[in-house]
Amino acid sequence: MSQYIVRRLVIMIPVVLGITLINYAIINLAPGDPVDLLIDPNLTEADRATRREALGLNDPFLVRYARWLGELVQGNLGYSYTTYEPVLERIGERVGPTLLLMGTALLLAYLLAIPLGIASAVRPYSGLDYATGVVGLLGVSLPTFFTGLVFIYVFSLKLGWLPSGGMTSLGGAAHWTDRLRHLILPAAVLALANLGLMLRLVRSSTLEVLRQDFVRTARAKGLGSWQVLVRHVLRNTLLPVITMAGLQLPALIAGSIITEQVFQWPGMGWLTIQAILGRDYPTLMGLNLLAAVMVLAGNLLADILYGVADPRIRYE
Amino acid sequence: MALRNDEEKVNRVASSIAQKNRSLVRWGVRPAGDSYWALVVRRFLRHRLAVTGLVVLILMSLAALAAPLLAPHDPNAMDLFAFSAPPSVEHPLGTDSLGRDVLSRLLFASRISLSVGLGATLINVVVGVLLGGLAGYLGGKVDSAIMRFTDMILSFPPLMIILVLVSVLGPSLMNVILVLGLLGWPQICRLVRAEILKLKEQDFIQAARALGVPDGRILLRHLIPNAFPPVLVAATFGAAQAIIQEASLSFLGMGVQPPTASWGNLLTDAQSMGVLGSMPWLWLPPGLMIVVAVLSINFVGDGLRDALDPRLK
Amino acid sequence: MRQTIRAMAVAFLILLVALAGAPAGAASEKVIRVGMWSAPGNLSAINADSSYGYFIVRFIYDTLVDLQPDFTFTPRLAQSWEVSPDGKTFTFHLHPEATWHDGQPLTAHDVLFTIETVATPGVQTNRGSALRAIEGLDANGKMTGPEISGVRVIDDHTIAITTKSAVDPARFLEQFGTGLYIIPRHLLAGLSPEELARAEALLNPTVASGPFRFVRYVTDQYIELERNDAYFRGPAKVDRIFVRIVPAPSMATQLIRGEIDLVAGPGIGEVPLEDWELVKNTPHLRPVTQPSLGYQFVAINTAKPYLADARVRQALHLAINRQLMVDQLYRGEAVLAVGPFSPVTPYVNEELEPLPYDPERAKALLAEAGWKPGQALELLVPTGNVQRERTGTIIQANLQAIGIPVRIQRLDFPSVLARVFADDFDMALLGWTDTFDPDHVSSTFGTGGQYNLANFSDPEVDELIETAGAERDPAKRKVLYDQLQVVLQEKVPVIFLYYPNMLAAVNERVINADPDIFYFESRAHLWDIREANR
Repeated sequence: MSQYIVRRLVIMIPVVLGITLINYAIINLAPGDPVDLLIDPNLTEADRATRREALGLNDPFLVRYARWLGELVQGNLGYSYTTYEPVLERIGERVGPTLLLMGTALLLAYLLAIPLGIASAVRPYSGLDYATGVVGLLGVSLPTFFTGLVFIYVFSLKLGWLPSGGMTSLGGAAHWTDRLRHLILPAAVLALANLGLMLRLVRSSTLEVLRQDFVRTARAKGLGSWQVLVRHVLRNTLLPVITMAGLQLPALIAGSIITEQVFQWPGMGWLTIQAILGRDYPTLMGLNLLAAVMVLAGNLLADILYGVADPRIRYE
Repeated sequence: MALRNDEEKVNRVASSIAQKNRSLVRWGVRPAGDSYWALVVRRFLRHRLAVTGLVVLILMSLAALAAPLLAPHDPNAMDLFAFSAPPSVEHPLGTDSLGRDVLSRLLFASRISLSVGLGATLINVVVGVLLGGLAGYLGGKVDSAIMRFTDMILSFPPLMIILVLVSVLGPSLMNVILVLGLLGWPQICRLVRAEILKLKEQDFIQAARALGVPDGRILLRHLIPNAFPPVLVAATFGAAQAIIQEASLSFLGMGVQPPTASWGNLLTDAQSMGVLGSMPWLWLPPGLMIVVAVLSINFVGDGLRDALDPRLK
Repeated sequence: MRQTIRAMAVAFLILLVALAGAPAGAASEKVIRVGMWSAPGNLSAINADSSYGYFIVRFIYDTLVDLQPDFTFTPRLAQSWEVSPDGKTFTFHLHPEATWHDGQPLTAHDVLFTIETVATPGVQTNRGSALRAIEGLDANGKMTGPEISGVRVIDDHTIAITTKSAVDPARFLEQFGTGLYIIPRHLLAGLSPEELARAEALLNPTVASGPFRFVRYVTDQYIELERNDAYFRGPAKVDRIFVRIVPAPSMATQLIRGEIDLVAGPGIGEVPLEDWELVKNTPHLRPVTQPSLGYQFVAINTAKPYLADARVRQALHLAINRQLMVDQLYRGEAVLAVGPFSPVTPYVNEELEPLPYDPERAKALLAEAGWKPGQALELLVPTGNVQRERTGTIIQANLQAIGIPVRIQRLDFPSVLARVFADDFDMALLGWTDTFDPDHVSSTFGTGGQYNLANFSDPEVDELIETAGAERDPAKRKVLYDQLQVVLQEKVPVIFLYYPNMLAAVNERVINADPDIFYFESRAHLWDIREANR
C-alpha cells in the first residue's frame, strides 16, 4: 500500500508538469493578451510596446513556459500582470476568506444533511422524507447567482437584517459578530446549493447500513432504536460522508466563482474570474497549479480510501 | 457455439451466486428474460414522485418540440411599444427588456436548455463509460494513464477552456453542449471504473476469464451492462447539473448567443433588484422552469435508482 | 508555571482585544462612503491599470491644474501659470507650501522627475500621452537623449514647459496639466524601470500629496483614505473616505440601506437602469444625472471590401433604430449621438440633425451600392455591459429587417479587442470615453490613428483633424470640428449610437459631492456632511 502511494506521488510530478504545460497553452490560446485589453486613449503605441516587452509577451510560447517553469523550481510563481504583486502573495491572501466561506457553507450543509438524511432514511417515503428531498433539490436546482440575488433582495433590501455584501463592515470587523453577519448570506446560498447532494448521500448510505445484518442483530438484541442509530448506524453512515468531504477538498480551496462575485467575497473564485478577464497569465497559472495539486491529492486520497473501504480492490 | 455455451455457464454461475449473496444481485447479471426490466418498470411506477417527474419531463419536451406551434409570437420579434410590459392578452407572460414575448421565448428556450441537458449528458456517458470501462478492466498502465488523464481534465480551468473553445469554434449551442460534455465525463469515468474494479473480482467474471472468453466480450457483455444502473442514475443527475451549468455560463456571458433564448439567459436578464421587486414576469417563469425541470429529472433519477436497486423496497 | 499561565492569560486578553479591534474612526468622525463597481488592479500614479485605480489616485495625488464643469482650469499644485506670447511656453508657479504626506516639500524638481520618469523608454506607464506635445520628446512622448529640451526648472517653485508647436492652451492644460500626477522624487529616484514597476512607494502610495492620504486597500473590499491635515490648499472637510467595491446588482441596495453614500460616477460606479426608479423613489437619495462624455458606437471595418463603400455604411446607419434605443432601452436616459463629441462639451455640432431611422432609404442605398443580397455580417459584442448587449440584439433585428443576416459574437472584452486589433471583424459594438478636448478624433478617425478601429482613411477628414488640432483659437477650432462632424456623418466610419446618461445618486446627508463627468473626486476636499446628520 505504502509502495503504491509513493509510486502515485512520483507519477504526480510528470502529471502536474503536463497539466501546467497544457494549461499554459490553453491560457495563451485564449484570444487577447493583457496589453490588448488596455484600450486606454492615454496609452501611446510606445507605452504598449514597452508593456509587452516588460511582461515578456514577445517571446515564443515555449520560451515563456520554460521561464515560468524555471522560476517555479525556485519557488517563485511570478508577479501579477495587473497588480504587480507576487502571485503567491495574491493567492495567499485569499486562502483564509475562501476557507472561511466554503468551510462554513459545507459544514452548514453537513450539519443539516446528516440528521435530516438519517431521519428520512429511517422513515423512507414519509412526509419528512419528501419534505427534505424537495427542499434539498430546490437548492440544487436554482443557480446560485439567482438565489444569491433573491437572498439579498429579501434579507438585505426588504428586511434589512443582513448586509448585502463584503466580508466586514468598512474599516474592518469591529467584532466577530460583524464578520458573522457578512458570512451568513453567502454561506447560506452555498450550503443550500450543496445540501441536496449531501442529503441524498446520507440518506442512501443510511438505508444501506440499516439493512446490514449487524444492525438487525443489534435491534434483535433489544437495543433501543436511538442507541442503534447512534452507536451503529451513525458511525457507519459517516464513512462515505467523510470520503465525500475528502473529494470536496479541491472545491474548498477553489472557492465559488459566482457566489463570491455576487457577495463581494474576496476569495479564490473571484480572483479566478478577475485573472481570466484581465488575462493575468501568472496569476492564472498559479491558481491552476494549486487546483491541479488539490485535485490530484484529493483523487489519491479517494483511491486510498476506496482501497481501505473495499479490500477486494487490489492495487498492483 | 462454444462461446455461447460458456456464457450460459457464466450466467448460471452468476445467478447461483446471486441467490446466495444478496449484495451481488445489485450488480450481478440480470436474470434471464425480460422479467428484470419488467420488475424495474413496476418498481419505478410505484415511485409516485418519479412518475410525476417523468410525466412533467415528457410534457416539457413535447411543449419544446411543438414550440413553433404553441408560441403566440416570434420569440425574437420586438414589440416596439412594449418593452418590459406586464402580462396582457397580447403577451400572456408579458415582454422582456427588448419587448419580446416572454411566453414564446420560454417555449423556445426549453428546446435549448433541454438539448443542453440531454446532449451534454450523452457525451458524458459515452466518454465516461468507455474510458472508465477500459481503465477498470485492463488495469495496470492503461488504468494509470486514463486516470491521470482524468485528473488532468478535472484540474483544467473550465472557464478558460470555454473561452478558448468559444472563440476558436465560434459561440453556438453546439459548443456549449460540447464543452459541458467534454468536461463533465470524469465523474462517470471514475464511477464506472470503481464498479468494474469491484465486479472484476467477482466469481462469474473470474469464471468467464478462466473459460477464455475474450476481454472485449467480457467488458461489453458483462461488465459495462452491470455497471450501467449507477451510470444511469449519475447521468440523470448530470443532466440536471448541465442545465444549471448552462445558466451559470449565461450569467458569466459565455452561454448560448443572443438572440437565442435559454432558461439560463432569460433568468440572467433579470439580474437586478428593480426587476426582482416589480417585474416578476421576467424571472418567475424561467426560474420555475429550471426548478421544475431539475426537480423532475432528479425525481426520475431517484426513482430509477430505487427501481434498479433490488435491495430497496 | 503560574507565570506561564499568567503570561498566557495576558496574551489571550491581548488577542481578544486585537480580534475585537477598534473600528477605524470614532463615531464623531465625518465619514463618506463611495461605491465603485470593480477593484482597482494597482494604484500606481503612472501605471494604474484602469479607471478604477485612477479614481483613487485622484484623491491622494495632485495634478498641476483642475478642470471645472464650466470648462475652466483652476489652480491645484500650480497656483498660477502664464502662456508666452508665441503660445508655446507654459510657466507654472507651484504652491510654495505644497508638501508630501511625509512632510518633505513638493517642488518643481518633483514635477521634472515625474516628466522624466514617464518619458524614459522602458518605464511601464500609461501617462505617456500627457507629454506628447512637449518639445524635445518624440511623437510618443519619449526621451531620445539624456535631457528634455522643453522642460526647464526655473526655481524650486517654478517650472516652464515648452511645446513643439503652439496649440489651444485648453488642450495642453487638459492633456498635461490634468493628466499627469506628480510622484515623489525623494522616494523613487534612482530606480530602474523594472524596480519602478514594482516600487512599494507607487503600489502602496502612503506618501503622496493630495487632500487625502492612502491608509490601506483591503483586497477586493474597500480602500480607506484619511484626511491630510497639512494639505496646502486647506484640509478637507471630512475625516475619512471609504471607497467600497460594490458590483452593479448590489449598488442600489447599498445606497438604499445606507451602506454607501454615493456612487463613483460615469463608467466606474452607477445605478443600473433597472434600479433607477427604485433609487429615485427613495427619500434619502438624491438622483444625479448628466449625459456622459463617452459614446457607444458600431465600428465598421472599412478594410473589408464589402464595407468599403460609404453608401453601404450609410445604409447600415439608417437601418438602425437609435431613437428606439434611447426611448425604450434607456427609457430616455440617453442622448442620440450625432458625432464623436459629447453634448456636454462645447464642440458638439448643435446644428447637425442626427441621421434618421429610415430602413427604406437604407434598402435603396444598398441596392445602389450593389450590395450582394444575403451577404451576412458578424457583430462582435463584449460581455459585461447589459445595455450594450441588448443594443446588439436590437441592431441584429434592425439589420435583419433590411435583409442583412447578422451573427452576434458575444465575447469577453479582451477577445473582442484582440479581433478588432487584428482587423478580423465586420462590426464591433464598443464605447469610447474621451477627453474634453476634441483632438481625440486624431487617434480614432485620422489615417493610421492608434485607435482608428474602423481602419478609416479619408483625406478630407485628415485635413480637418490636422488643421483643427493645430489651431490655437477655440472659436476657429469649433468651426472646423463642426464641419468634421458633418463629414463623419456622410462617410460613416462608425455608427454613432448614443451617449448614455450617467445615473448616479447621493445620500441627502452628503453635500458638494454630486458625481459628475468632470472628475468630481478631484474636488473631494470640498465634500462635506450636513451638520444635523453628523
